[in-house]
Order: sequence, then structure tokens, then C-alpha cells
Amino acid sequence: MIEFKNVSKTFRGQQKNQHVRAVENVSFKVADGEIYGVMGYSGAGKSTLIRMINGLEKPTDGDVIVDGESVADLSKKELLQLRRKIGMIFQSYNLLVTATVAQNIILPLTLEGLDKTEAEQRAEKYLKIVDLWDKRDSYPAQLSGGQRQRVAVARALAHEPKILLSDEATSALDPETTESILSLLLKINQELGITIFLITHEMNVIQRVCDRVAVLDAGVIAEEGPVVDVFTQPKQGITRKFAGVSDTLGVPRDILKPYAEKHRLISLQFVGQTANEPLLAQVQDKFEVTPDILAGSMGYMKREPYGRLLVYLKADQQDQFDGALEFIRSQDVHVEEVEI
Amino acid sequence: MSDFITNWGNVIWEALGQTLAMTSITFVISIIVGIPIGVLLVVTRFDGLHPNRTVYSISNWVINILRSLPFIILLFLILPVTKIVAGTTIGIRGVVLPLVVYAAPYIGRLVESSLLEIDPGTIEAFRSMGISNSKIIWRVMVREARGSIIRDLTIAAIGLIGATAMAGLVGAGGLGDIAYQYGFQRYQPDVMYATIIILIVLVQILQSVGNVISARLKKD
Ligand SMILES: Nc1ncnc2c1ncn2[C@@H]1O[C@H](COP(=O)(O)OP(=O)(O)OP(=O)(O)O)[C@@H](O)[C@H]1O
Ligand SMILES: [Mg+2]
Repeated sequence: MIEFKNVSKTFRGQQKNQHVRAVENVSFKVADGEIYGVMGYSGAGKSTLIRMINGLEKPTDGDVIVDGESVADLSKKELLQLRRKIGMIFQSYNLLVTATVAQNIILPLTLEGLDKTEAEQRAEKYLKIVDLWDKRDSYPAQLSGGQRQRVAVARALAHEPKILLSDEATSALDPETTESILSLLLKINQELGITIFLITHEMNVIQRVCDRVAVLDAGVIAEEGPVVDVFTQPKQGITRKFAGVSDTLGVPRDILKPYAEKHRLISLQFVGQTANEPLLAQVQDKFEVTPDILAGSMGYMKREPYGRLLVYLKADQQDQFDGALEFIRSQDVHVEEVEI
Repeated sequence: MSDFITNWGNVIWEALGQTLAMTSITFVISIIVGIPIGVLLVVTRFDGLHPNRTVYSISNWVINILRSLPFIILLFLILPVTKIVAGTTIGIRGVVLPLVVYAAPYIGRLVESSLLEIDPGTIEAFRSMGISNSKIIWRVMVREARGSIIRDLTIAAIGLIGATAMAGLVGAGGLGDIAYQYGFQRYQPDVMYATIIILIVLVQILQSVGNVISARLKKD
């Protein structure tokens, strides 16, 4: 559906030393129906990357292929056609402030040439999907951030696109509203079969909705793959930093210090319904070590439950400890020793 | 009072008609010329939809020059051009071109700043929807800014009424002219006060109507 082939983008400044290499030699593929996320810190080049998909930005090098066509090769008219197949939502919603919720959806449709009754029908259909039909005559200023973003989603969907691009759509929202937008994205992906490409700096967004993720670091893809793999077994420092904010599950390190001095700290991660209590009990029985839970959390990785535990093991012998770890690994639980 | 009306009613009435005629004709033409000037400035800006440095700099420069000339100077400065375009340099016909040259760049500037108030993100959103630039300009940007544009036009209309007061100098008549002729030259202050009151009322009405429409169109 979307393919980047060795794509680079350099913004030219007045002088050579003012050039900004925003994206460098990036390649990846997004499959039909997938939710693909790109994650990176501010200035990593995420917006530049996403804007190349609908031709708002042109690559300096390489090819961006959308739905079988190279975006750079399209004529002006073809580019407008392509953009109509691609919806886009933004951090700042970007609605018309002088138009009602319904008009915000109808106006762009009529500008595209749809007749008025059909535009009105679509506005109704998609406002109902985002659950805002009763707000159709309100103005954006009268809505909350989450509601505005849902109007923006409805506006994008009303064009019946194949692809939805999301540039930090939840970054300005509180956790609860973020969750409502994310579940809306999951719903439209499942029910309407729309491919979603999103960029974010929030790891929980990736975990909640994405099938695959690319981690962008200073314009370069540091790591790419299925979300579960990338976050349970991060290979690159930057990914570990994103994932690792919680490698102690948020417990301050100085609290853990006394435990770490006497015993060994390990972190467990599991996806899906792994019965973990029996697991620790088994470890205790089999290897004569005493595990104790210091912290734990559970959430969703996409639709799968995903859990993490921070455990300290009282193990007298190194081989007991090694054996325990090996056993835990054999139960499909990812385990790592935590260094304090 | 009734004496005053029988003596001066006709003169003042006629002058009011002339002022309204001059203002409305030139206002309409100035809008037709001025709004595209504002659009041109916004669109050709470095971050506009069609950046064009040459066009932007030249228009910017010309507008600045025209805007720095007081109307009274402009009126005489472009006499030769007025003669060619209007065929005459006197009467209402002779004052239309100078008034337009005075008001259109002003409207252009005001409209420019109103259009710049639109969040660039909104324009980007419409670009991402595959809507052509010309539709974005005329159907989205102008629409979104219409509340401020009405406010701009109100200011411009009031400015035009002021400028028409000087049009008497080339024999176009109007309220300003009789205030000057009777009030100043023949020392009949009551005539002058009457015209001043009419002008104040006129400006108040315009401003109030403009404010109401503008507020109704603005929703933020
Ligand atoms: N139009 C432009 N001209 C010059 N430089 C630009 C332009 N757009 C982006 N850049 C530069 O390219 C780099 C990447 O910017 P980009 O907006 O893609 O980052 P981002 O990952 O989206 O960041 P954020 O999370 O802050 O939105 C930055 O250094 C930025 O300054
Ligand atoms: Mg960005």
C-alpha cells in the first residue's frame, strides 16, 4: 500500500551548513489493512516523512510509492486524485473555526465535486460513526479537544479514503481522550479496512494500536518490526530509551538499590494470557529461589494483554539463578536482568 | 429649525446623495480590486500556496508607496491618468479613479492581514484532501476570514467617506464640500455642524452594521 524506497529529504538552507537532512535513506513497506506507526523524538523527521506520502513534501532522493504509483511521478491533477484517497488528521485538528461540525465535513466534499445531498448523507454517516451526530450544529470552539479530533476523523473518513495518515493526532489530548481516539482508530481499521499510518512520540500509542513500528532517530530508521518484538526486545539504544522509561516500571532507582545490593532484579514481559503466578511459584519450587514482586503493570499491546513484572530473586547460587531465567524463558516470557 | 431645513435642506440632501454615490461606486470597485490584491500578497508570500518572490516584492512595494500618499496628494498626482481613464478630471467621474487607487491598496493590506490570521494547519488540511489551490483560496480562505474581511471593509468604507470629503476640490460635491464651502468660506457654521452630524451618524451606522455582521460570521 505504502512503500518507501531509500527515501531522503534535505531542506536546503541559504548556505550549505544550514541544510537539514530531515530524513535519510529510509525504506519500509506498509501492508494493506495494517496499522503502521513511526515513533521518534521531536525533530526526528516524522512529519516530513508522513507528508511525503501525500506529496505535501517531495523527497530529495528515492521513491515513495502509494497504491502502486510513485508519488513524485504524478501530474498535478493525479496528485489531487491521490490525496483524495488519503485522509489525514493532525495534532491541532485543523478544522474551519467559522463552520459548524456538519459544514466542516460537507464543505470539502462539495469542493471535491460531490453534490450537496450526497455530501450531507456522508456527513451524517460519518458523524454517527464518530458519535458526534448530536453536535452537528456546534462550532469547533464549543467542542472539547477529543471531540474536535473526532470531527477531524469524520472529515477524513467522509472522503472514503483507503489510507488514513495521523500526525500526532493524540499528542494534545489527555490519556482518557487519547484512549477514545485510539479505539476509534482501531475500529475504523477493523470495520472499514482502512490502512493507518501514524506518527507519534508516545510509546503507548504505538503499543495500543500499531501492528508494526519503525523507530526514527535523527532521520534514520533505527529499528523496525512487529511492535511486540521491537518493544520487548529492543536492539537499539533509542528504542530501549522509549521502552525503557519503564524498565524499572517507574519505580525510582534509589528505592530499588537496597534490593539490588542483596539480590538480583529481573524484569519479566509477557504478551497474551500467560499465567504468571504459577510461573513464579514453579520457579520457587524448581530452583529453590525466592521470587518477590516489586512492581507490576498490565495493559494492552494492540488487542493482546501485555504485562510486565519487576521481581527480585533471592538466589544463593549463580546456577540456580541461571536455571530460573532459562525456565522462565522457556515459558514464552521475556526476561532480563535489571541493572541498577 | 424649519427655517434651516427650508433654506438648506435641498443643498444638504443633494450633497448627501453625492457622498453616498461616490462612496458606494468607489467602494464596490475597490473591493473588486482590493480583495484580489490581498489574496495575491498572501498567496505569493514565501509560505503561501504559490510562493513568488518577485510578484510579492513588487506588489508589496507598490502598495506601500500608494499607502503612504495622502489622498489629497494622490488626487492631483494621478490627474493625467484620471484624464485618460475617465475622460475627465472633474465631477464624480473624475474622482472615482483616485478614490479607488486610494482605497484598493488599503483594502488589500487589510485583507492580507485577515487572511494571514487563518491557521496554516487548516490550509494544510485542505491541501491534504486534494482540493485545488484556487478553491482553497476562494472557497476556504476567504470564507474562513469573511468575518474579519467584513470588518476590514467597514474600516475601508469609513476611510472612503473621509476621502470623498476632499473630492469637492475637483467639483465632485458631497458633504465635505458644502461643509468647506459654507462653513469655512462663507462662515455659516450651522451648515457645517449639520453636515458634521450627518457624517457622524453615517459612520456610526456603518460601523455598527459592520460589527454586527462581522461578529455573526466569526465563531471562534
Ligand atoms: N520546511 C522546512 N524547512 C526547513 N527545515 C525543515 C522544514 N520542515 C522541517 N524541517 C526540519 O527537519 C527536521 C525534521 O522536522 P519534522 O517536522 O519532520 O520533525 P518531527 O519529527 O515531526 O518533529 P515534531 O515531533 O516536533 O513534530 C527538523 O530539524 C526541522 O527543523
Ligand atoms: Mg511533527
